[in-house]
Amino acid sequence: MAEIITVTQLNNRAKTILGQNPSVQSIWVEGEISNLKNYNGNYYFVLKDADSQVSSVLFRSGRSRMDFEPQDSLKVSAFGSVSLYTPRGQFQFVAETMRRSGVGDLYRQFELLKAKLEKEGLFDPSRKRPLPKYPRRIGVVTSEQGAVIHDIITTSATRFPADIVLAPAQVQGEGAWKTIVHGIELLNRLGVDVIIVGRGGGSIEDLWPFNEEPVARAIAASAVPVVSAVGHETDFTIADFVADARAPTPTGASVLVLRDGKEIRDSLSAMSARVEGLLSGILDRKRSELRYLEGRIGLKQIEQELSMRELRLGSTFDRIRGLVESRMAVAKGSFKEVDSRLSPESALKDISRYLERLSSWDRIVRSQTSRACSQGRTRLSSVSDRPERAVLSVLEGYRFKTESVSAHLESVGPYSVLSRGYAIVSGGDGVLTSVRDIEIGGTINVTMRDGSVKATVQSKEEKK
Amino acid sequence: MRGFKEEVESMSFEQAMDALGGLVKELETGGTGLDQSIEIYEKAVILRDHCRKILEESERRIQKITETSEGLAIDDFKDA
Repeated sequence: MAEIITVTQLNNRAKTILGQNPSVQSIWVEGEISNLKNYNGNYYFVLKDADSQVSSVLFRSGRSRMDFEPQDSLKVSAFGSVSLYTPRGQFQFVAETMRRSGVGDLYRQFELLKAKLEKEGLFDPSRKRPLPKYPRRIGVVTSEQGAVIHDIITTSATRFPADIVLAPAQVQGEGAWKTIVHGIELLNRLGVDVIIVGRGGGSIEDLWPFNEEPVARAIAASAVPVVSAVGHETDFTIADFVADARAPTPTGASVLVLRDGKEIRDSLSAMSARVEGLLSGILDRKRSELRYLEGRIGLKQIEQELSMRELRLGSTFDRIRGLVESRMAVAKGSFKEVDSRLSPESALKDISRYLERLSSWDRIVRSQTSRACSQGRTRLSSVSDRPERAVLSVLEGYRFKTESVSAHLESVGPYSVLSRGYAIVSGGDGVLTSVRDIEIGGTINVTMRDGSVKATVQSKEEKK
Repeated sequence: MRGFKEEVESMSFEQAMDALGGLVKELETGGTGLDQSIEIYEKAVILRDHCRKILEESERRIQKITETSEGLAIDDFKDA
């Protein structure tokens, strides 16, 4: 009779048989991942092809040996062994590592990651940061040996002077993405103004590290703008989409990051020339303003004005003098009629005193006028703002003074005494100064401001 | 003006270029008196000279950064 065994025994036996058969141990199995689940870093999924499927597991330790993230729909080659999960009697494939299979699948993977990151908004134009205008230090993540760093160094020689810091990275092959991510992080820690991430041209497999999600995320996380320069102009990688700017080639990247030295010098010269031009424009304007002022109230004109006023002043004095002298002559004529006791000397003294005073006024006013003229000229040369006003006001002051002097001279003249109500009394022998010389019934002449009368004396009274 | 010169010495190229651009704008706007205009011009000359100095006299360093057990290491990089 056949032996009876438990379910556990059965499963254990099956497990042992499978484990001992090399045809299902340490083998590569190709299939497409589906129904992928991640529990605590362990991946559970179904590996399938057109006709069959098998439950599979990839433990966390296995993931660290891989350079890509397992995804649904991804076609992979999984390395591992078949086993049986005894509690459920489940046949399963335990993968130790996986690799992507087929280039066609790389394109697919590219499209998947691109769609995923795009959905996250990592490619948004609003995320793109402007590149610094004049970076002092640029970081470059690329291979130490490749042509990229050489091209960048050579190109930068004629451009804005910036330090270049290379963070050496492996740019192709397995694990290359890790060194690229590390390089971006190192340069961020060091502190650079902008980072160029790149490599030369190559196959899609060669460029693949720049399509890895961690590289895309490191670019997005960089504190400073990142310029991608991967492959040729026709090659597009995920890094290009995430980067703040894409350069078609590594040489193009240094052109993008560092402005042309000659261009900068030209714009600097243009700015200096602009400042000089503007300044000389301002100077020209000021000069013509000055010329305009000079033209309007120029020295010559002021001098003319001054000498005209001097002339007018002189003629005023001449007129005053003539007036006074003619009145003096009239007075002298009158004096001939007055009593001989009225001393003609004193009248003459008065007259000469008036004349003296007159000529001293003349001197004072003339000297003050000429001082005013010279002050006016001095002031003119020192004032820049409407100098004519100052000079004219000084002149105006002297005109006023001249008029008041003339009025004063008239007020102190001898005839003003008559106009104040006094009269000159004369008899046949001349000016009479005492009532004793007058007889009642006699005739006297009374000279007043505007003429004279002949009067008959009716009575007289002498002061005691 | 000496204070301004010292201030400019510590400016980056970009700061100096921006300052120069600002002065150009100030002059362009007009309304600056003669004394002020000349002062602006003098400042512009200082800024321009500073920019030229950075352009002509800067020494470009080419370096390499690596991470060692002692932290970041920066060495001169010789382009092969």
